[in-house]
Amino acid sequence: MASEQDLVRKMARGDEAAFESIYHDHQNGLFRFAWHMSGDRSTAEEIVQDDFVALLEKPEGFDGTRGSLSGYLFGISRNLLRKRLRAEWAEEPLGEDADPPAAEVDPNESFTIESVRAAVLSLPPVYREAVALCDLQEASYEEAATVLECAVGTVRSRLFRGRRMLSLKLKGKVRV
Amino acid sequence: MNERPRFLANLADEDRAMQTPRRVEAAIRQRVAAVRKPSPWRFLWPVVLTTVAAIGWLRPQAQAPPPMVEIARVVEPMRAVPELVLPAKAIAPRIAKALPRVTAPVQERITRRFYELAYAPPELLANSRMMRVRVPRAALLSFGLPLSAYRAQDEKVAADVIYTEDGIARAIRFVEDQNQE
Repeated sequence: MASEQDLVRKMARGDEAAFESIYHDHQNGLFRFAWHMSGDRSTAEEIVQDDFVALLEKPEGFDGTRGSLSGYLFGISRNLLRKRLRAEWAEEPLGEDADPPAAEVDPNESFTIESVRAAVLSLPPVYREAVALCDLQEASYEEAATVLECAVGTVRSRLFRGRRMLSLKLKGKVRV
Repeated sequence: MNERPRFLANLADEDRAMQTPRRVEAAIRQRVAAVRKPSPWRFLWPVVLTTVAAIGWLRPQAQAPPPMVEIARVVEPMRAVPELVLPAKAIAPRIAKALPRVTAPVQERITRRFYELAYAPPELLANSRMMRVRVPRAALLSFGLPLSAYRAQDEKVAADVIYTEDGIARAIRFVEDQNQE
C-alpha cells in the first residue's frame, strides 16, 4: 500500500488514481470543516478546491514523517479560512484566562439543528475551530493541536470554553 | 463540560452525510490532468554536446585533438527525426533493422549499421529518440570505419544518435554524403 507521501508525490505528477485516493479520503471532512467555520457553502467549496490545488502545487510542503496528510490538509484549510475571515479573526474574542460564566444548561438538552449551527457560527473563531475539529469532525486533541498549531492543553481549554459559550447561546443568555 | 454535549453530537450526525459537490472534484481533477511531467528530453542538448565531446576525445592520439570549444561549436543539428519507438528487445544490430526507412536525399547514403555506445535495457529502448548531429570525421576511426587521412583533420560527418529517455546516447550511425567520397 502506497504511503501518503508517495500518493502526494504521484498526484503532483498528475497521477489521477493517486488524486482520487487522496480526494475521496479527505474531501468531505475538509468540506464540513470549512462549512462549519464559514457558514457558507460556496466558501467551503472554494476552500476545498484551494486546499487540493495548494497540495498539488507544493507537494514538498507535506512531510509524512511529521504528521498525517489529514492534519496537513486541515492546516491548509485553516490558513485559507483565516485569510478569508481575516476581519472576524482579528476580533479579540475572550481572554484565554477568562472563563465564560458557567452555563446552567443540561448538556443533553435538545435544540434544533439550525439553532446549534447558528450558535457554532457565532463563536469566536478560535473556539469555533476547536469545536469544529474536536466535536464535529471528531478529531483527537492531538490531531486538533497539530492543525491549530498549539498545545493539547490549549485545545482542551478552547474546547471547554467553546462548549460553555455554546450552551449559553443556546439557552438564550447570550445573543446568537 | 468535558464531554461532547448532545446537541453537538446531533449536529455532527446531521452533517456527516454532507458531501462536497461533484463540481469541486471536477475542477481539481482538471488541475491534476493539467500537470505535465517535465520532459526528460530537456537535457538532450547538453547530452548531445557531451557525447560529441566524448567521441572527439576518442580520436587517435596521432591526431592533435581540437580544443573542446572547437568540438562543441561544430555540433549543428541538421534535423531531428520524429520520435521513434524501438522494439523492446532491440539490441544494436536489431535497432538498424527495426528503424523505419529514411527517405534520404539522392546524394545521401545512410550507413545501415548502428554502433552501440552504451548498453540499454530493453525497457529503456522502447522509448527512445534519434537525433541528427555532426561529429568530427575522425570519430569514424573509433568504430573501425575507413577514413581518409586528408579529410580526418577538419571535416565533419553527420551521424544519427539514439538517445534513451535517461538522456544517455546508446547507439550511433554515420551518414555519408556520396558526393564527398
